Amino acid sequence: MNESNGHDRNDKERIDQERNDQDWQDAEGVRRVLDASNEQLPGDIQARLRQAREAAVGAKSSPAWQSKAAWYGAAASVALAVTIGLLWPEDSATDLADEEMLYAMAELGEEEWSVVRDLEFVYWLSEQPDEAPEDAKRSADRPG
Amino acid sequence: MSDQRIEQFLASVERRAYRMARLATRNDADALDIVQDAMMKLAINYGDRSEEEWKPLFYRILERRILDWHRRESVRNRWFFWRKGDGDDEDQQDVTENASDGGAGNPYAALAFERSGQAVMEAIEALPLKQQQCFLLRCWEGLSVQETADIMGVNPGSVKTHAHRALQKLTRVIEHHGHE
Repeated sequence: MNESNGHDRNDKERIDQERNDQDWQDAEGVRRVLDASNEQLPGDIQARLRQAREAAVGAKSSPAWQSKAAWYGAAASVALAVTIGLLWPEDSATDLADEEMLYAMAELGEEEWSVVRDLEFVYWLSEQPDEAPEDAKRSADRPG
Repeated sequence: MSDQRIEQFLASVERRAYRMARLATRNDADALDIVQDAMMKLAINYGDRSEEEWKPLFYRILERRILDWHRRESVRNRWFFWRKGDGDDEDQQDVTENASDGGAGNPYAALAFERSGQAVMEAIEALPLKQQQCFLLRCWEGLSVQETADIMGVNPGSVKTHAHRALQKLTRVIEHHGHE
């Protein structure tokens, strides 16, 4: 029984592999078209790509740029978080469709997300009672 | 030395990255922004990682940026639906206007190649985004099924299915134009 299952799996993997290989071969015509379109990119596009590449390499080796970017990123994150807070106060939050909120959140970059998460944590922390319920009960029961 | 290596790497992927973004956005400026953003992110955040990691990381960033662009567009189109189709036509440069020497030396063959090339590019543009990305990463960039799955955050089976379906559609276009 197990041997039969093993054969079936091998057959499936073989068929899968063959289909993959066939797909790769069949894609040759499309690859040619794509390669041809890339070989003759317009000069202005090539220039823009070169500039982008040089800017990226320059940014990597420039700590000053990185700290400035981090500062701008943080400032933008705070501004975004405040805007979200102002536009969607607690009372009206339930009126928003989940999907719209999802799309709005999807626009946040990683840095913004980390700030929003931090803000959520700070908010959560501020909502917590000063002591855990068990501790509160124990201290209330404690004589004296 | 490290800067030189990352520059070489970026130079090796920039055209394909641009083409992928261009096919996904159908807009030169947006495609360039996406590629620039992906390059910047890779260089700053992952430039110190090993070179073997750069390619999957770069395409993962690029993929996320393309996805973000589509999300933003869908929101923008929902809110500014009356502006849909306004004026961007000039930006929609014909991607194959300079394309190919596929029929070099023979003007009829060149014309046929150009027409079929244009049809193929339009067919790729028209693919659903996941099929398009799977196909380009798998069948053009040559990434493995597993690498493509990791980049796109889907399972390997989905990659095979998406790429296969995309190829079926594109093959039909090529056959149609080949027999004209």
